[in-house]
Amino acid sequence: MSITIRPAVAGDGPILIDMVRALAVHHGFEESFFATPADYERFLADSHALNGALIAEWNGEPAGCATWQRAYQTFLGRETLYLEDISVLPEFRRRGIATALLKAVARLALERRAAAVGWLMMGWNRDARRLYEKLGATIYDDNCFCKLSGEALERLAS
Amino acid sequence: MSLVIRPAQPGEEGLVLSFIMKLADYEKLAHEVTASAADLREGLFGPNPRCHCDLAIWNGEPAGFALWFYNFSTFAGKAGIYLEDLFVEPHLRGKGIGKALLKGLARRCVDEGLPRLQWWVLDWNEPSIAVYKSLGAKPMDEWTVFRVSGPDLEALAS
Repeated sequence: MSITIRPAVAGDGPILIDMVRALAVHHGFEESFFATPADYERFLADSHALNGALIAEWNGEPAGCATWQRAYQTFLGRETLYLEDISVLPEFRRRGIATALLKAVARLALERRAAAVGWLMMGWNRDARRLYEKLGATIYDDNCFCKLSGEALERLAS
Repeated sequence: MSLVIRPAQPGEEGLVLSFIMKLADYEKLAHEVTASAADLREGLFGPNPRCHCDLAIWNGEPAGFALWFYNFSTFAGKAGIYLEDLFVEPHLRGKGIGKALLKGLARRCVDEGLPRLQWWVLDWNEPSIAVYKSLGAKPMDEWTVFRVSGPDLEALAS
């Protein structure tokens, strides 16, 4: 029984999108999921892309993924990594795959000389919160996350 | 009375840093600023720039800034804009300068076909939250922010 983590490469779009969609469904965001494998292939094929992904395999079978992007923290004056998604397929849970993915993202951050890794989590996700705390993450409960999209975005732009 | 929004130019990193320090001071986070003007020069204008900065100039006087970068929504399959910092000089507030900076970014999103503009705000910052809501932004209250950095990041990577 073994976990392998590898960078997602061109051709992994369909595998990756299935795992990210599973995450969207699990969080109740199925109706805001529009991505296609072609959208993913564009960044997977671009070595200068701002974003990328890691795939976790359990005995050679795709079991989970982490998608990341370059970010920047002005207070540090340094690049950081933002973890957009971490997904483990239901049948592969409780095997340490999420921990292995987070460790691999941390290694990637250090390789890229990024100062930190940051991410968001749904407030109700107690299991994930316990894991993240155990792995040394700091929680910023006094932050509020804002989003402008759709009509509100067009209205402000006009 | 005139307001001009324009990209920061190489050589203006000292001005950008002074705005970052004032913002950190307002957020009671001045102790967290370790960035130097050289760091910002690299991040904004280096061979592999990571972020962009718009300056607001009020009657010829630097009045505020927006520092932002592109990100990618794996659910939408499209890029978006993440606003890292927004600041207006206290004596020039109430003139619509912050709104003009946000509007510029919203216009860029619409012009470039990017479906979302996102940012974080400290939850005690009621005046800013009220402005953001008036512009149509939705607070995503159910999200919790995590970050791992420094020794915790190295421990996780090992």
